[in-house]
Order: sequence, then structure tokens, then C-alpha cells
Amino acid sequence: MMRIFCIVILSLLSVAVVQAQPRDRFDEATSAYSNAEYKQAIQLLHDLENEGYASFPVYYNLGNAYYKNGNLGAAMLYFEKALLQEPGNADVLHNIRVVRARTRDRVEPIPLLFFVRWWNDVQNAYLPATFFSWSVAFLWLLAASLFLFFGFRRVLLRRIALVASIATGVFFILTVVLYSTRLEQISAHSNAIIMPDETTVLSTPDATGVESFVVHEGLKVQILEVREEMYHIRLADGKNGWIPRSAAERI
Amino acid sequence: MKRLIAFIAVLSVLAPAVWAQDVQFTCSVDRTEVAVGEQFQVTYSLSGGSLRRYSDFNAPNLNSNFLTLHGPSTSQQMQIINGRVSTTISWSYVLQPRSVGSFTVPSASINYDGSRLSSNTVRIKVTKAVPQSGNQQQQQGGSTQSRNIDLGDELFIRAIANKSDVYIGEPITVTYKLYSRVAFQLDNPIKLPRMVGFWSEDVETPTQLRPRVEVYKGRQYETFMLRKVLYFPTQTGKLTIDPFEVGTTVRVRKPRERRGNDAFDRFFSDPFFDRYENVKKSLLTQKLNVNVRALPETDKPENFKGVVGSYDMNVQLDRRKLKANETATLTVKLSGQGNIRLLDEPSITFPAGVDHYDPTISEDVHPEGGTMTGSKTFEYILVPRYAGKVTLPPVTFSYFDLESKQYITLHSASFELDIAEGDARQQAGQLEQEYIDYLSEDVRPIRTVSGPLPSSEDPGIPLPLMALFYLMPVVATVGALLWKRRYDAARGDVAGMKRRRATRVAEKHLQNSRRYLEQGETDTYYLEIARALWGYVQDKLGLSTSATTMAAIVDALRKDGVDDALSAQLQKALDRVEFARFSPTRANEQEMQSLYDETREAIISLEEAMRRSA
Repeated sequence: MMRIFCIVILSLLSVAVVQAQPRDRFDEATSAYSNAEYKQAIQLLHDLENEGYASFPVYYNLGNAYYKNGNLGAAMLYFEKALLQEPGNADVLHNIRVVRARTRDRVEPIPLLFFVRWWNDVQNAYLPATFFSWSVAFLWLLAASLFLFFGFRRVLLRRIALVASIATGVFFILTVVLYSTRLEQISAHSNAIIMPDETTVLSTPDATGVESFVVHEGLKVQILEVREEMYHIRLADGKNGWIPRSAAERI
Repeated sequence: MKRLIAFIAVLSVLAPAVWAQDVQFTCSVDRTEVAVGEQFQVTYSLSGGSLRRYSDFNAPNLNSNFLTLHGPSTSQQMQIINGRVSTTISWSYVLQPRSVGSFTVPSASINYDGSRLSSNTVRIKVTKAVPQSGNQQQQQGGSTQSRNIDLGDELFIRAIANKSDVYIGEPITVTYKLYSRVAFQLDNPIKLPRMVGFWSEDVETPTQLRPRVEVYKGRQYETFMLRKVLYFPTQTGKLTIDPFEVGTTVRVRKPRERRGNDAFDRFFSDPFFDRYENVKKSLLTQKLNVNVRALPETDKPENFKGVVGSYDMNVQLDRRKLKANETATLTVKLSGQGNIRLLDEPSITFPAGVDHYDPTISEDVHPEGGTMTGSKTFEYILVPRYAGKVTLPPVTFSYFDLESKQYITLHSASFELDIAEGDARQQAGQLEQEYIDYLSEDVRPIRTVSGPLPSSEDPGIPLPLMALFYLMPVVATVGALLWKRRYDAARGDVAGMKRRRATRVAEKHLQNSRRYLEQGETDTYYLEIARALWGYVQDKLGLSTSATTMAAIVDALRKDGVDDALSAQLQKALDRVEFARFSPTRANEQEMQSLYDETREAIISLEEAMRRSA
């Protein structure tokens, strides 16, 4: 009887140990990292990611652990994922440059028109929720100026209100567009990281494709199209071609 | 007992066909009776459904009864039947029986979408002698027999080449055509042989076979174009285009054996009652011999890279004037007819001091109508590093023209680049410098969290919440406007009402004054005139009676943007009304009439001015 009791207690305890608090396992991963046990840290963080704690610190630390473990592709992937959670985070941007300095591809981006560059910079600098709050704020301002325009008869006031409602209307539309394009960009996972050491990019997705060029682990590419088992990718310098799906991991 | 076993065996063979309507995993053999030492083929195939969802093909142990000569070789087929795509993946083995007897080809299993499918088994009878044709057993579940039947001129395929004597690189168009006088069905997807010495490109693969009637060697056939292929020879000499194989199933009449001469049998021997059977037949084209000549050596240009066809070249530079370290794009577009996919970049000599990158290459190929036409575009990004004038020498491109049988070299114009002193900030190799800077850096330390670990969240805002956030300001504005209107009405909006009614009130007073003028009641006339003008000005400008001084009126007029001339006119009218009203001497009728006109005019022009500025 006593033995059965002991077994029950022990099994309850072991369940408690297995289902340790996510916070504790995160700390465990942190200490594994500081003890240079990177594989264990990666394992723990991946478990947390799969359990629904795929937040900035988990992605960021995964990126670091993969980097220390020598997996440049996976490190890049998780730093980029972290960047989606906290755009413009200085630590992530620094780490991405560190990883990029060690990847083999040197891709010079095509110079863009200044307003396209501005648009991209603004779009990539904030979270979709931020754009949404802006759009709500602008909508309130628009509402207020429309109220002034329709509700009052003072000529000067109405003129100011008209200009203000046009301006806030434009800003409202801009922020809505920024919100939806940014959200689309994130949820479509249109960017990917090359994972194998070396991948040959083909000119067409079928067997007749000629080898166009070679890309290496850790390079960020844009996915234009998915067909069968192939991705149509574009590099920052405009070069494009087809690679097998297994060669790239979507961010 | 034996019957029962046989019944179960038949059931187990038929079972997979019954329950798996969508996804089928079956085992089939090309024949059920073989002789020792002969080869036969076993195929396990998974058909229907999505091929992405299968995994883990578990091969059976075939070697206990048979000798595996070859396999497994996998193949995938895709068929479109009535617009529905059906895919089949199969694993096939070539086996040889080890001894005489009856053996079972074991079943294989596969994982599909989480559940395990097992194939049926097939029994193989192994005989000593070579089995005679026509004496074969039917295969499981189907009526297809494999028999070496001679269809002779009834069904065959031909490869028709448009030429047999070509230069290297000159395309040969080969049309594969099926000629038929019997009912048939295509089995295998058409697969081209891989050949040495040719680079091939499909130019036409009809998705639906369309019959055409054609007379060949004096007989009328239904013909079907199966495929049109361009072959570009890459070697010289006598080359052959390998035969092309197509599997078909043909319906042939099965000869009936006549047993006796009784009436019953005679009745059924009528062709109407003839039984048909499906027979597999593979068709082969003849080999095509091609003589490939080398290109002439005479007049061969130096930069010739083996391009054959006919081409045009278009070279463009997007900007001629730029600063050092800025970029310009040189676009070379080669368009024409020939093997566009294998076009190499044209030879360009870039002057020193102008950096250039590997070109971005884009193709636009239309392999239709038996030829390959299209274009290939090479985009070079150029970065001049120093100020000054630089000349880009002409771009040259040579090809062998098939029409005129001679070499042609295309030259572009030369481009002059005018480069101004660049921005000092944009130093050469900026990108490379950044890479070098970060090579010595390490990643920043990892993060720790205080408090509970944040969970992942959806980046998007749920639609109902979004609608709520967007609707609130709209509802608020409409509500506020409605409230404002009611509030104004309740408070009587004295000023607003007065302003709106000012014109009508003034009109009434003017009418009254006119009446009094006609009646000669001078005092009341002046009173009405004064009420009309003063009242109008007060109401319109929102001034209270006690605060109305001339200075206040002028001030208010200026604020409302009424010009000074009008203001002066109004002042004059007001002065005159005041003067006339309180003057001890009475004016004559004419003067009173002109005062009336002047007042009226002042009100009208003020009305217009206010309307314009509102």
C-alpha cells in the first residue's frame, strides 16, 4: 500500500517537473546558453515556441543560440522573425548585420526611388497594430474636423476645418494602407532565408531550367510565387530564379 | 473448404477497389503467368488524392520467392480527365521467379494522411515452359491483357522531322503523330527519351487529342498530334533521335471458338455478340537520322559564341549624366528566333573606372508554332567611380544567320557617360566595408524576461474589433452633429436666426418705408428706413443693439472680409439716414426717394459681399 502511494506521489511530481512553468524553462534555456550548451538551449526554446510562446525574447535568444551553434541560416531566420515582432530593435539589427557579415553572399540592393525607400522604411519600422492605432487616431481627428465643418458657420473656422479634414483624411487612408500591406507582408511570409550551405538557382521550375546562379546559407530572399515543389525567389539586387522548397525557410 | 479459401482470396483482391474510392494503393503485375527465368514487372501505385500527403512507402520483402533484378524505380504521372487532375505515383520492380509453382506477390504498405494503406496481393503462376499467347489468365479487377498482337497498319506512330540536314544549333522540329484505324486509349504519359547531342524543348503538347483525317500510303487514318518538339543539335556528325514510345490500350475483337454447329451457337457467333478485350500495346516511332554540319570556318567573327538563328539587338542606357558612385543601367535586349534559353551574354568591354555587376537576366520565350521566338534581356548595373567623361564602347553580338547562311555581327552605338563629382559620403565599396566592420563584432547578449513569458499573438486586429474602432468616430460625429442642431434649436440660436432672417426683415421694413413715402408720412418713413438698414447690419454682423457704434460696424465688416469701398458706401448710407432722421429741416420728396434707393443698394451689395465670403 505504501509502495503504491509512493508511486502515485512520484508520478505526480514528475508530471509537475515535466510541465514546469514556461518562465522557468526560458530561464533554463538562458543558463544553458551561458554554459555554452547551445543545442539544449535551442531545444528548450523550440519547445516554448511550439507551445505558443513564440514571442520576441524566444525568437531573439533562438537566433543567438543558433549563431553560437554555427547555424547561420537558422540564426538569420530567427533574428528576422524577432524583427517582425519588434521592428527597429537595435539589438536584432546589430545581430542581423553580424550574421550577414559571415554569410557568403554579397548582395547589393537595387537603388530605389527615394519615396519608395521612405515608404518601405516607414512600413518596416512599426508593428501593424501601431499603424492601426494611428489610423484610429486620424479617424477621430477627421471626425472632429468634419464636425467643426458641418456644425459651425464661422467662415474662418470652416476653412480651417476643411483643410484639416482633407489632411487627416489623407493620413487616415495612408495609415490604413500601411496597416494592411504590413499585415499582408507579415502573414504571407513572403520573405525566406536560404538554409542549405549552397543552393543552385534554376531559371525555370522544371527540368529544362538552366542553372542561373548559386546562393548560400543565411541569405534573405523574397518569395514571388510557389509552384509544386519550387519557390520563385528574388534577391535584393533583382536577380531571380527557382529553388526547391526545402532550400528556404519562410520567415 | 477450397472454395471458401478461393472466395476469400478473390474478396481480398477486390477489396481495395471497393473501399478506397478516392485514394487507391494497388499492386499490379504486367502478367500473371511467367516462366522460370523470365522477367515480369510488379508495380505498387498510389493514385488519386494529393501526393504530398503520402509518406513512408514500406517495400515488401520480394526476395523470398523472387529475385529482384531492378527496382524500385519510382515514377509520377499526372493526368487531367474532365478537368480533374489525378496523380499517380508508382514504385516498380522487375522480378524473376526462382522456381516453378504458384507464388504470392506480397502487399506493400504506405502512410497516407495519417492512416496506413496496404495494397492487395497478386498470385503469380510460374511455369516451366514459355506460356502461349491467348492462354493467359485475366488480371485482377481488370480486363486488360498483355498480349503480343499484331495490329500492323492499324495503329502506329510516326516521327516527322521538318529537316534532316542542319547546321549545329539549327532547330529541327519533330512532330509525333499517331495514326489509327481502331479504338484506342493512351496509357502512359508521353515521355521523351533523353538524348545525347541534342537540347530539346517541347513546343506543343496538346492537352486534348483532336482527331484529323489524313490519307497515308493510300489508306485513310484518324491522326492525332501527340507532341511537337524542337531539337537543337549540340554536336556535329550523324546523330539519331531515339524512338519515342507510347503505351496504348486497344480494343480488339476476341475470336470466338465455335464448338458445335447448333443454332444457339450460330446465333451468338453473330459479330454483334462478339466479345471485345482490351490489349496493351506499346508503339514506337522509327529512329530519325540527322546529319549535323559544323558551321563554316570562313569569316567566323572573333566574338562568335555559337549562336544560331536570327536576332535583333537593342541596347539602351537609362542615363548619360550622373555623379560618381551613382548607378546607371545598361539594358541589352536580344530578340529573335533560335535557342533563346541558351543565349549567352553579349560581349561588352567596360571601361576602367566603371564598376559593373553580373547582369540580371530575364527571358520571354514563346515556344509556339514550331519555332522558338522571344527575347532575352541582360541588365547591367554600372557604377562609375570617378568624375569625367567615359565612353562605353559598342556592344557587339554575333550569330550565324540560317536564312542567308552567313555570320552576322550586330553593333550598338557607343555611349558617352558624363560623370560629375560624386557625393563624398557615398564611398566606393560601402557595402563591403559594412561587412568587414561587422566581422569583428559578436552578437549582443541574449534577453532575459522579468515576469511571465509573453505568449505569441496574432499580428492582425480581429475584424469585429476593427469595425468597432472605425465605427466609433463615425457614430460620434453624426451624434455630435445631431446634438448640435437640437441644441441650437433649443437655445434659439438668436444670432443665427437673426442672421438668416436679416434679409427678409430688412425687405419688410423697406416695403413699409416705401408705403409711408407714398403716403407722405415722413417720420414713420425715416423710422422704417433706419430700421431696415441698422437692423440689417446688426443682424447680419451679429451685433447687439446697445453695442452698435459706427466703429464696431466697420470693425466687424473688416473681419468678415468686406472690402473698404463697400464699407464706405454703407457708412455713408447710415450717416445719411441718421442725419435725415434727426435733422430739423424736412427734406423734399426727391431727396427721400434717393435715400430709399441708396439704402436699398447698400443692403443688396452687402448681402452679395457676405454671400461671397461665406
